[in-house]
Amino acid sequence: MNVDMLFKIAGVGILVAVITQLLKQSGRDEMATIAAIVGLVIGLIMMLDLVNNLFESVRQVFQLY
Amino acid sequence: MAIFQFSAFALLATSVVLLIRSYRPEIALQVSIITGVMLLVYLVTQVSGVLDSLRALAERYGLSMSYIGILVRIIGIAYLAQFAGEICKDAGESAMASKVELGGRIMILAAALPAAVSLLELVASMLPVNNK
Repeated sequence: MNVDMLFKIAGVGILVAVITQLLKQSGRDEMATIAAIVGLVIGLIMMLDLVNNLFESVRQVFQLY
Repeated sequence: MAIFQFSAFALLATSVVLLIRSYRPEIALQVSIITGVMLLVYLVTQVSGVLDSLRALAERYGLSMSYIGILVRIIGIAYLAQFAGEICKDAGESAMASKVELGGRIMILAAALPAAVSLLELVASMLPVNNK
């Protein structure tokens, strides 16, 4: 349990929210959408490693295939 | 104690999720998934000690190890299926959550079937009707 990862993704979320707001205010809606998608992908990539870690440890401990 | 750390982590993550949810619901979901994964990884390390002592106990009293293995495997399947189902339910996809739970149930049935079949065979061999 480390809090760093949590705050990292929360920071990405807040940053993306601010960026999308700014881009929407300046009338570039499509750039705002792209920024939202990029934030989502960054979060997914951070998540992937942890979820893989969970699956591996569950597989090892419970001797699943 | 570990439980204080555990609860404090969950409460902190809940407040972070609530903060982000109004701006970016999808990233709030990711934060909650990551929190769940971290808590479960921590729990798995705790559970492995319990399972080791359970195996040692079973070995001492001469229980069959294959049945203990089936039991442990079922616990693992239920663990993962419940984790994924709860996350789907949290995100509002209760249909997907019920599919995941159905999948977990079927996997558990498939894992438990050999033990049930051997129990039936044992009962059938005890019955006098079948002793041809």
